[in-house]
Amino acid sequence: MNSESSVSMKKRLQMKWFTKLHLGQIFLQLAILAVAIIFFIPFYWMIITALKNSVEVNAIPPTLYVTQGFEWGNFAEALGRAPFDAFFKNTLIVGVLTTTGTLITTIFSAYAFARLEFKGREVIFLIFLSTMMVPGEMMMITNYITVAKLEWLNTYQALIFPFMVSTFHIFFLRNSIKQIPVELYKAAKVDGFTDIQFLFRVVVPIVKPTLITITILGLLGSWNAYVWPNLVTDNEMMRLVSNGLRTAFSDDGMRVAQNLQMAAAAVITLPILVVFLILKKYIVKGVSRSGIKG
Amino acid sequence: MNKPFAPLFDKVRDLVWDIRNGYRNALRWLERLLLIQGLYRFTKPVKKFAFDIARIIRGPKETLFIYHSNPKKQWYQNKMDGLLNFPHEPWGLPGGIFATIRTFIDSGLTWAPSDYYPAIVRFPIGIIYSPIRLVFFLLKVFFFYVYLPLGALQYYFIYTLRIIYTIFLFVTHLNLFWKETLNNLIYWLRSLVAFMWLVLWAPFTFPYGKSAHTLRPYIYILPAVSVLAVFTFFPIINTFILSFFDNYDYLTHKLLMSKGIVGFADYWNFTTVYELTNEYTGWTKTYQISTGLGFLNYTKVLESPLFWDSIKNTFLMAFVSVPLAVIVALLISVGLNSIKRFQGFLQTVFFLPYVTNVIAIGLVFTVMFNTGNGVINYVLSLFGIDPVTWISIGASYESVVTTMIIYTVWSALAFKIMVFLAGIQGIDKQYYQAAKVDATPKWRVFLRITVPLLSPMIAYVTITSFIGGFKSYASVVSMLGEDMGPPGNSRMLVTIVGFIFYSFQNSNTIGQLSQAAAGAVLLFLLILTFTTLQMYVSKKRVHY
Repeated sequence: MNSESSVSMKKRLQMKWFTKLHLGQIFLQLAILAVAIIFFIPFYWMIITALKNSVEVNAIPPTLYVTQGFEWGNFAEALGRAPFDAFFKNTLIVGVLTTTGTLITTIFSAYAFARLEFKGREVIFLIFLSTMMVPGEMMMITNYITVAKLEWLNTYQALIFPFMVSTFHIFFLRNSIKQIPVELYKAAKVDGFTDIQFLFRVVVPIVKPTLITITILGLLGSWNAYVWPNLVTDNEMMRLVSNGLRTAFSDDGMRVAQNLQMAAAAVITLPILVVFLILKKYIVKGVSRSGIKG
Repeated sequence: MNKPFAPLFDKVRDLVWDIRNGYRNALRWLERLLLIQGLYRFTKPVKKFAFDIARIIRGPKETLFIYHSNPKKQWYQNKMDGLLNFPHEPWGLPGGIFATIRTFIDSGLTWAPSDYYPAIVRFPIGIIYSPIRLVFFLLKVFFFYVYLPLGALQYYFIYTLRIIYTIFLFVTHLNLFWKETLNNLIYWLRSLVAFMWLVLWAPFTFPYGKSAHTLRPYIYILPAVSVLAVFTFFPIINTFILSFFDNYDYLTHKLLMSKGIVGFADYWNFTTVYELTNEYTGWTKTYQISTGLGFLNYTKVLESPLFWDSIKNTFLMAFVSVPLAVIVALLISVGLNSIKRFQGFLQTVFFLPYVTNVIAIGLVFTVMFNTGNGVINYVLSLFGIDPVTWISIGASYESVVTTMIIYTVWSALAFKIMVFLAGIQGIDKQYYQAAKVDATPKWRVFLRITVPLLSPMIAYVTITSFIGGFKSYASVVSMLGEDMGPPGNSRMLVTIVGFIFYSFQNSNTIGQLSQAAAGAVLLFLLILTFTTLQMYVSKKRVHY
């Protein structure tokens, strides 16, 4: 076969491939789009219901889009029912302080476990690992009693201290630090770096993605925390976002109108969504990395 | 002469010699390392003084149990005379260990003081009885010398803070300092003594002869270890031990004894003092017993129907939602990986549930599954199906469970898709190209290439999802409220963690807290069993 006919035959084969792929691709895309639409329904419904006025909200059957005008007053009314500014402030404070504490303790401990040699290193690390297995609920009872005896109920300390150190993060960071070659440490020693200088000038920039993951996971954790803050805070002004939302807006006692409920839920969900959309790359990379390596 | 067993005798003799030498060396090391006998002797008058003051302040009845030592016996023989004479404050730890070991040796490994029975009687009996004695001795040592000091850790934390606080008061507000200290003199002295114990113990564990350079790693791990010690290590052991207290209320130190009498139990002393009045003579006699340690809490938990309800609910939700979520996530991530066009946008849509608040989305689902004006019933009515009571009043068990499973799968998909997508993108393209050369059909490519190469990810995601599924509580509460059930039928969908919290928050009856602890230990054992099983399975099926 000379070159022209082989090229044309290739082209013909490619065209066949291409048409096959094209049809299959379109079908697949439609299927995935349909699944995505079904996936997105809760968010859509949340925003729609938050914008309906009180007459339309109780309509049976429900309307699929806002027919009687957007009721932006729902948001103001929902925000007025509970001290949302206190909730956000508390969540931010707790999240930032917890994450800072986690970062500091994790960097030092992981570095010590990965690079320094001291007696009992393996034993202590084994003890850390074994506590990773234990569910948090087993520790909650005693932690509550400890916090109550320290008279830390309804304070920030009770929300921060128990979660300042996370063994999973220490394990994760230790693996990352172990991958830094030892020659780097020796070269730094030759250059006259002390331990701490080496830690902060060389190690931290190398493991920065891991640290960003830890930060994101810590902030998300404080955002989603429900059980422990519910146990430890009674005072409405000290509540975090999740348990504050629940006690103010759930159907336990009085019936709260649905559009107000959804407005409150939207107010809580949307800021984080915006932040997520901005930082999407880091979050996705970080979380999937912790999934693969962990 | 023939000595066929000569090598064996040599070995035995060497072994005995090693044991003796090792024993002696161990004792010498112990004697050097622990607080030596003289220092322990010093603690006795200090303790006596402290207890005298306690007796003045607290009253004679509550300090009955303290000293029954016979002055004619040796100080370490008194130790062996029973439970009551164990040192109560943890400063006796090193001296106590040393004392009991020495008593063991001195009394010829018997159960009686040394000068009571002749040796010809003591030694045979001792050899038979001493293993049993050793086991009970080890149990007592564990409870009094491991548990109490570890329990003391939380108090050391408090005591250290209190000392710092009084120093601060002394520096800034002198009047408040006097008021604080004098009002809480005993508490302050106790803090000081506990602090001193900690300070005295520390020098013996320091690695002497080495420079500060070798201490640096310990300082690096100090913040992590100290926080974990108070909030992780101690609670685990404490919960474990709490679950063995029979009929004892850890919070108010009340013990429920037989005949419904409630007595006061001192936390440090594992004993209870109570009064009984004889109705005929009018005399009041004070008794003392020790708290029961046994499996009563486990029995109560395993017999309560709420616990078995919670097990059924948790297992149903976990074993249905996790495989479903994994399969759906696999399919979605494979599909997502193949299409190139809106991949970024679709990725965002599928990752959204990961960053949303559990409670907020629970509220949204409650509204969506509302009987009257919920979306789901509206869509079903378009297909001609009657509206279903999902989670409102009068909902059936099946509908509530279905709703919970849908919610769990929906919120769990995001993380799984994230991990699987990253995993698929990490698979070497050569496999797919080889499959294309062989013109394999797509489903075969999926089953034989993608899934095995993704199996580490699948295993990790499955294990963590099961662990999270066993611990599910917040998702159920977010949809069904604190009652964990539709209105009118509370605790229909209680989970194991819900059972623990229910026992914990309703601790009006004595011993309920210990039942919560027993439930927590059972949950931990459950998770441990399943994780071990799954790791065993994954070892056989996962290709790395």
